[in-house]
Amino acid sequence: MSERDVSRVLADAVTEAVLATPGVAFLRPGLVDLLRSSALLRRGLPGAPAGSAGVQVQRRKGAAVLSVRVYVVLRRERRALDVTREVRSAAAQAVERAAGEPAEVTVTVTGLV
Amino acid sequence: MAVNGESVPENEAPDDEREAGFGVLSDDELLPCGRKLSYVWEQVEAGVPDPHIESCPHCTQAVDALRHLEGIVTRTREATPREDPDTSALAGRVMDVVRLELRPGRTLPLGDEDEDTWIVEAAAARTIRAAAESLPGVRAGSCRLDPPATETAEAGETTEAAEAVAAPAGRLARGPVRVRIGVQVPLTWNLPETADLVRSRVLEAVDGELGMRIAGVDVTITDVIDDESDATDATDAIDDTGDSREGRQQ
Repeated sequence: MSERDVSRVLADAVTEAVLATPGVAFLRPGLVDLLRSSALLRRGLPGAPAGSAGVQVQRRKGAAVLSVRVYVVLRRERRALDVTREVRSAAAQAVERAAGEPAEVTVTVTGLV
Repeated sequence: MAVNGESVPENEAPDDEREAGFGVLSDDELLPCGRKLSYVWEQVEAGVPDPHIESCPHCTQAVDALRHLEGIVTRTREATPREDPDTSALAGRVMDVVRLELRPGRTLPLGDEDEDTWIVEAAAARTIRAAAESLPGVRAGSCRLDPPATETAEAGETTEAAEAVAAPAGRLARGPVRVRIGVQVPLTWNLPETADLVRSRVLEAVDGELGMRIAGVDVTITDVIDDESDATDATDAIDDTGDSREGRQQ
């Protein structure tokens, strides 16, 4: 399994955990991703990356630690900070379960609906 | 992240992210001709004629894609009866999310200093503007949030502090955020009291709905509304922050 495949598997695990958190509406849609799926822009752009606009998993060059970035749109019904804390915790647990190692998890709220 | 053309510093993804090929390209995605995708869309939305965009095949494709997206949203709205408030509200919220994607603004800290949770300026600003407008007759204008590092930049130090803000989330400074909001208020209101009211609504919302730590709220009353239809009746703008700077309208 290439490192890219591993990242994709981890990204999927994180995605599932994030979407299961109460108060999460959806992952950042990533307009660029939406258009990339359209044939109009497929030419000239690199191939599909591991993950999505909402979840990025990578191991920085030279760093031992996995880095996970989550970009998420929340519902207004709960305090944003409470939801992001739960998202962070759920994502960290998902990576630990799937990768067997801890990760640095960063969560950014990109919208509220 | 996408950049507000006026004053928001760019949050560039670090080079190693792009090289490793992991994750996704940022919203500063470049078309093969070198133009930024977000820039091309903004020009088109603003109706600004641009000879390069009109003649370049990559830009033209990007514009077609935007029209395609817009068409989908418009057809969805037209297909449903306008009297149905829920559906047109939904279409409105979809376009809100689209706009947030194009111009998220700065990344701001959410929560305690040792946490790693963040929120984009555009999302926080919306919550704040809505809080101000919960006061009857008040219209919110420009709302900006300043992350901790830029306070020193405004005090006249070098641009190093401002550049520190341009690092990706995770390397940004964490600390209380300063809010600057401009509002238009009804003529009959006591202006200093109104500013205080706006300030306390904003603080309530920021604490209760977001959980963001705030250093202060600068309220600028940019206009006084004489009646419902007269939002631009220009009287002397009264600045509640003690300096002469006004909030900028978005």
